Amino acid sequence: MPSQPDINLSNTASKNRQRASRESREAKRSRKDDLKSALAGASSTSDRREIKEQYAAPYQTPKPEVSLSDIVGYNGTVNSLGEDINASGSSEGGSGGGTFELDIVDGNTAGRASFTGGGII
Amino acid sequence: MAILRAGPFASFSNYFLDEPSPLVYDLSPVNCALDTSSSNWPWKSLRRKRTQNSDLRSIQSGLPNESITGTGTRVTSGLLVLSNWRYQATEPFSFDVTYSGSTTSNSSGNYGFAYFYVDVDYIRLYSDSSSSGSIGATTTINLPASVTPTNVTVGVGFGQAVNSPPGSYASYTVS
Repeated sequence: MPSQPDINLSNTASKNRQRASRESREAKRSRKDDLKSALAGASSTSDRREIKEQYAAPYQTPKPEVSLSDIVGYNGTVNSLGEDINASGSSEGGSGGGTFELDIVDGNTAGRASFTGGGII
Repeated sequence: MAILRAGPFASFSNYFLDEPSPLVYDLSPVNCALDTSSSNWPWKSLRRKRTQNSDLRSIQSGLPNESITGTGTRVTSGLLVLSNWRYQATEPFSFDVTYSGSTTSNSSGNYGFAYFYVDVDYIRLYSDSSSSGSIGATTTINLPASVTPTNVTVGVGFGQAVNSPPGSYASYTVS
């Protein structure tokens, strides 16, 4: 049986969904009014078509473009398992151990971390 | 806890890409949250400026700050400028974006339309539009922590009313 905090959480999520849905409906209605108003200023069929196209554009989520580079890894060094076989930074000591550096995100700050250990195999 | 950097560019399916040439929409730079202080990992975005007949792309350094002004007098002179980037973050964070747009009206009193939007991972998080002259506000976009690069797009644009004079504009600044 769900606990009271679980029920409260579920109710809040449900309310948020309803609010988002309501706002989406209102935005759609508003866009429809905007379009109607813009179309009123059109004097030809081609103008009306252009207006409709332009109105539709910003409300469509842009589709990603397919690119050859999408299937080529970072510097061509990502293998089929998704591992970068040439980590950025320097490596000292070869396979026997040493230090190497990698760029990191830490506390939402761009940094660089130094690793010591078995090295890159 | 720290996470390893992805990028420098990423797509929806590959997080470790070099900068493509020519630039491809949605294949965008990966940034560290809003950290613009690193010379080793400079903050960048993919800028795209679209008109009815052209589609120009370039890489912009630093937080996006865009402005476009219309010179045409027909609806076909409508413009859209957007910034697309990805981020990694170990903690939730937010950015503010201040936008404005204004369109001129024709002799019949019809204005063009201005619009603004923010998409996060292909979902529209915020939008504003008006066909009665202008839009403008400052809004805060809250983003969750993300190990894999999350896509953000900020765009603003306008379409001009038929036979309206030049002078429509739109802009945004991310901070």
